[in-house]
Amino acid sequence: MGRPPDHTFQPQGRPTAGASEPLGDSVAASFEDGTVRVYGPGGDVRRTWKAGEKAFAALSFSGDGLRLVGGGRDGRVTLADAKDGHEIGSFAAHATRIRGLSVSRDGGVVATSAKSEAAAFRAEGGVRLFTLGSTFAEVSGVAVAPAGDRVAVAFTDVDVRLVDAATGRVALTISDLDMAAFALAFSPDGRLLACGCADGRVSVRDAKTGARVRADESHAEPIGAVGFSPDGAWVTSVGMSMNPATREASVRTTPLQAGSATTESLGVLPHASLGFSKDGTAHVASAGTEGVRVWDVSPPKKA
Amino acid sequence: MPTPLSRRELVERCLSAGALFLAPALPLSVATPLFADEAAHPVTPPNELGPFYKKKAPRTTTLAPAGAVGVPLTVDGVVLDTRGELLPGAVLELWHASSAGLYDNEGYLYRAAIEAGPKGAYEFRTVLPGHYVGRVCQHIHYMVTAPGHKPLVTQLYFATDPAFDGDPDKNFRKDPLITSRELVRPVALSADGAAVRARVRFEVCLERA
Repeated sequence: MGRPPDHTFQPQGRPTAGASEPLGDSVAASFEDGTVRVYGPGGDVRRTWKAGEKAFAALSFSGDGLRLVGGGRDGRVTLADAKDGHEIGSFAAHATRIRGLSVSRDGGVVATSAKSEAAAFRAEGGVRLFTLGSTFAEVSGVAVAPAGDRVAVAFTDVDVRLVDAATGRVALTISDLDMAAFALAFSPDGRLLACGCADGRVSVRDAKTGARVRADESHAEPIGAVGFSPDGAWVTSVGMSMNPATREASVRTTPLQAGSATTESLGVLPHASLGFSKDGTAHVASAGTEGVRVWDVSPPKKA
Repeated sequence: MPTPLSRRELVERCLSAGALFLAPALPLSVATPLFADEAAHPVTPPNELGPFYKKKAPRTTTLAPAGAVGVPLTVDGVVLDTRGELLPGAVLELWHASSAGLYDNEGYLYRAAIEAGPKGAYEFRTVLPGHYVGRVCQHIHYMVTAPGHKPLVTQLYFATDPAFDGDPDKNFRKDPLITSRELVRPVALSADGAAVRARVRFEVCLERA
C-alpha cells in the first residue's frame, strides 16, 4: 500500500508536468491551457503564471528557486520569475518536444534534452553553449551543476557524459553503470554526481573522476528522481512505478558518511519530483488521477 | 580477390585520373563486378534503443529461463554488410520482455550477447515477448556491432502480433515506433504434439564505417 501522503489536493485540471521548489516547499504544475500554478503543500495557490496557450512538457526551478523554466512540446524554453510569474524570455532549443530540463543555481544556465540530443544555453538571450547528440541512443537524463559550469547527460546506451558547459568538451564519461540513468543530480558544492538508474541502482560519483564515493544503493524499481540535501549530507532517491506500472515505488534516504539508509514505500507512483527546504526538510510530489500527493521525506534529524 | 568497387568509388577514381571517359572503355565483364552495388543489400532500418538496454549480458543462445511461460521461439539469420559480405564474429546484444510484458532489470533473464558464427549465422532460443505497457507491439531489441562497421540498433517485430489485426502491411504504423515494415517479420508456426513453436528469420545488414 505504501505510506499515505501527508497532503493531497485537487488542482484545477490535469497537470502535464511538475516540479518541486529546490529550497522551499512549493510544487509547480503546468496545465493544458498554458497556466502554471505554484502551490503550497496544502494546495493553496501561491502564484499563477500564464505561460502561453499550451502546456509545458517539462518544468524546473532554478537551484535558488527564483526562476521557473518550462520546456515546450514545440522545443522552446520559456523562463519566468518564480515569485511573481513575470515572463523573462523564451528561446528555441530543439526541433522536437523537450523531455528533460535542468537549471543552474542562479538560473543562468539551462540544460535541455529532446529525444537523442541534449543542449545547454545561457538563459539570457538563449545563447547555445553546446549540443551533444547520439546516433542511436536517446537522452535519459540531464542535470546542470549548481555553478552552471558542467552538465551531466545520460544516454540510454548507459554512459553518462560530463560536459564542460563553456566549451562543450566531454570532460568525463562514466561507463561502468549497467543500465541507463533516468535521474541525475549534483551535490550543492558540485563535487558529487548522483545517478539513479533503470535497474534501481543509485550510484554516487566523484564528478571529476567518476569514482564511486560509497557503495551503490538499490531500489527494486527504476529511479525517477534523485537529489542531495542542502547540507550535502544525504542523498534521497525516489523510485517510479514502471515495468510493471502497478509496482510500488519507494523513497530511500542514504547518508553519505557513516550510517545506514532507510527505505519506505510510497505506493504506486508513476512519476515524482523531489525538493528540499533550506531547513533540510524534503518532500516528494506526484500528480496523477488522485490529484497532487505530497509526502514529507525529510532525512532523520541529528541527535 | 579484390574488393568490388562501389559506383561512388569508381567515379572518384576516374575523376582523380582525370578520365571519366575511361569507364566506357572497360570490357563489360570487368565493369560488371566493378559495379557491384554497395546497396545490393539495404541496411537494416534502425529503431529506438529504448530505456532498458543493459550492459554485460551473458553469452548464451538461450534467453528464456527453463520452464518459462510462453510460446517457444527460435530466431535465426545472418549478419552481413551492404556488399553481401558475411560478418563472422559480429556481436548481437539482444533483450526483450517476458511473455508477461516485463523486463528483467535486476538480472539478465531474456538478455544475451551472442556471436555470429563462421558464416555470419546466428540463432537463439527464447519465448515470444509479451506486450510491454507503453508499447503497442511485441518486440526484441538488437544492438549489433562488428569491426569496421557502424553499430546498428534496431528492433524485430512479429507479423502475428494481434496489434496488426492480421494485416501488418496496413497496420504496422499502429506502433508509432515502427518506422519500417521491413522490421516486421513473418512467423512460421509449427505444432509439435500439443505445443506450438514459432520460428522467425531476421537478416541483419550493417553499413560499413
